[in-house]
Amino acid sequence: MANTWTKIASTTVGSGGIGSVTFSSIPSTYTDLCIIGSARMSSVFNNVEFYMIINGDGSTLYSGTILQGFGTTVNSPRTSNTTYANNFNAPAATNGIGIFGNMTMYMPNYANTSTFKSYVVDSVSGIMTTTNNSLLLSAGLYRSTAAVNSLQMLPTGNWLQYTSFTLYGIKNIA
Amino acid sequence: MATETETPMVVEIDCTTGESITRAMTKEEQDNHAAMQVANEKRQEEAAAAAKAEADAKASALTKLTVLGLTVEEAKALLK
Repeated sequence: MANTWTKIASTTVGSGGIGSVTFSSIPSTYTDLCIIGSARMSSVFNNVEFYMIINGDGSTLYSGTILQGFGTTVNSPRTSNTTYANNFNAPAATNGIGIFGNMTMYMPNYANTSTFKSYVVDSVSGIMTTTNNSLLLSAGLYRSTAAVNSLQMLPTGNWLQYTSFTLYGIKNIA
Repeated sequence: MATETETPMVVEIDCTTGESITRAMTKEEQDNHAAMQVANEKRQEEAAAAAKAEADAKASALTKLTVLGLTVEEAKALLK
């Protein structure tokens, strides 16, 4: 399994922060894509959402079902017909210095031009309290048959220093 | 660091060439990003309100059940 994973690209945010990270011109030569991130945002809210836009497409083709721990309560909101994927979360600057969340987004069959694109996200914030989101699992759907060639990760506020995203391509081998 | 009054910067990584470009966010991108954040703020407030309402309802139910004669442990078991 491990030798089917190839790092396509990676970035780490510098001291100035950054408004978004985009992986563009993604080769269609893999079977699946995976982004692994370690993230922290400049939002004034705790543990808030961040966003993904596929192929630069801001039309209402995104939906998601989310299972999240919100303090001691679990809830399962659903989003539909949004202009971005929003089923991710990460800690914010208000959560304290050095607190980062981690996330994994896995999208199979991304280059197929006959199927809508579905993906799964697990997103864990770096802070566990009774009032903050601590864990988010979600399923997302992008209702387009276009091959995925671009993924943009947008924060609430800015991505803060040391936030990193790595894009992997996964390929079946005999 | 970019502030709310400065134009945010974005980084684009070309996965074919490996080239990384850092540029200013366009006005359209800024508007779209702002709209996302407004919607996010609303969802966060709604989620927090829903969580509080559920906690309040459970506390009220616990009180009413104990008045009926259930022990606190029995009432909590029912509310799980």
